[in-house]
Amino acid sequence: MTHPHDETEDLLIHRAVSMTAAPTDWDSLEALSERDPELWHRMAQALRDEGDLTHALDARTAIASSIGPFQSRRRGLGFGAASGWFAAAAIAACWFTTLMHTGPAVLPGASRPGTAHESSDMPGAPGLVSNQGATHGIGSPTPVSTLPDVLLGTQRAADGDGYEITVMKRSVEKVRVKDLFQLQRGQDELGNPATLPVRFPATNAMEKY
Amino acid sequence: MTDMDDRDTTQRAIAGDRFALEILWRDHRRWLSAVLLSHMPNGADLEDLLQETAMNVCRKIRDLRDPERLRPWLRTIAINTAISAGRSATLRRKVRTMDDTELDPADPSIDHDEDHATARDTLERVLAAAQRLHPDYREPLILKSVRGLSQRAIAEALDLPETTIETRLARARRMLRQLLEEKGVPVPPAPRTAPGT
Repeated sequence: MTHPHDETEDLLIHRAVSMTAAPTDWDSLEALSERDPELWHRMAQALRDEGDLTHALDARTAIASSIGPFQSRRRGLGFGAASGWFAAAAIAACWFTTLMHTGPAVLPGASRPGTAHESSDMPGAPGLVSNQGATHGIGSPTPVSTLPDVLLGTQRAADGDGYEITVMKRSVEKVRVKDLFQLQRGQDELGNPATLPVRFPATNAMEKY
Repeated sequence: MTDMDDRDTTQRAIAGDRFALEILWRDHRRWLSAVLLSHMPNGADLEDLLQETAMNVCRKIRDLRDPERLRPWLRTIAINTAISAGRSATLRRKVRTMDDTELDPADPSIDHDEDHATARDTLERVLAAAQRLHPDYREPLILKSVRGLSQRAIAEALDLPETTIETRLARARRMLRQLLEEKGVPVPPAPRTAPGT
């Protein structure tokens, strides 16, 4: 059962919990408690709520210390236990999306200025490429979703008027391709990165890995 | 940091001093995350909102005309970021569904210990109850529970007299207690934590 509304009591309890109660406030609390001893119970509850809320907020807002206006944020992709081909497929999707937007085909692992690869997040994961990569999939890519922008860096504008901000736009697209190839270490006799065709089992291909 | 230091740092940030802007953000990001928690839509991710808020602060700091009004200005930026996130809530829910598939039940970081889980539930239940309060009471109460944030600083951020904040806090505590006594506050799902954070 809740206690009837009492503005004075609310204020006194708040001051006590906030450690801002003056000696006269404590006197008033004493006086009120003589008529209603349950007041101490309500104050204890308020103290407890304050402690719980503070701890809950500590935990939830701790993330703030890792975020800054000039810090790039590098979140793991979070695939958890899933690895191997699942991770590789993700790399392929990222890479394929890059190809779709940047033109010339560059295989994962090959260096090209301005091209980012996520392979460092998943060491050892083989890359997958489509033989239709740079030019087309079967049909148009289907937008799945967009993710919030990631701030990569900022700098003062050269002319001193404001700042230049580098932002990574993230989107997820699905596209169907005819064939997949797995990147191999080394090169073939023509100096091209070596690839092998990938054959998934007919059923539950992803479960296996 | 004293008010005078804050003013000086703000002025330098407005003038384009990158280091000053970093200091400002560092000094204010904790309570700004509490503002976001008070206003963010269901399903939104606090880390994403904070990142966007940082970006917006960076973009717009030169628009701040009066360094004395830094706190309300920062709060407005944070609230607008949360509102903007609410507009694309449907999209975010979709993303969240995708993210949820990443949870690994065998992950040792997931708390399986019963006592710890109960303690976490208690904290989450209190926070969930606070988030159910009317906005007039919710935000001051959540801000008051951020360590180191004074009643005066809250009044300044909310652009209200300190006496009004005190009254709202006093009522908010009672309303929170009553909500929790009703035991009608469900335990929300554990907040997601990005790997490596």
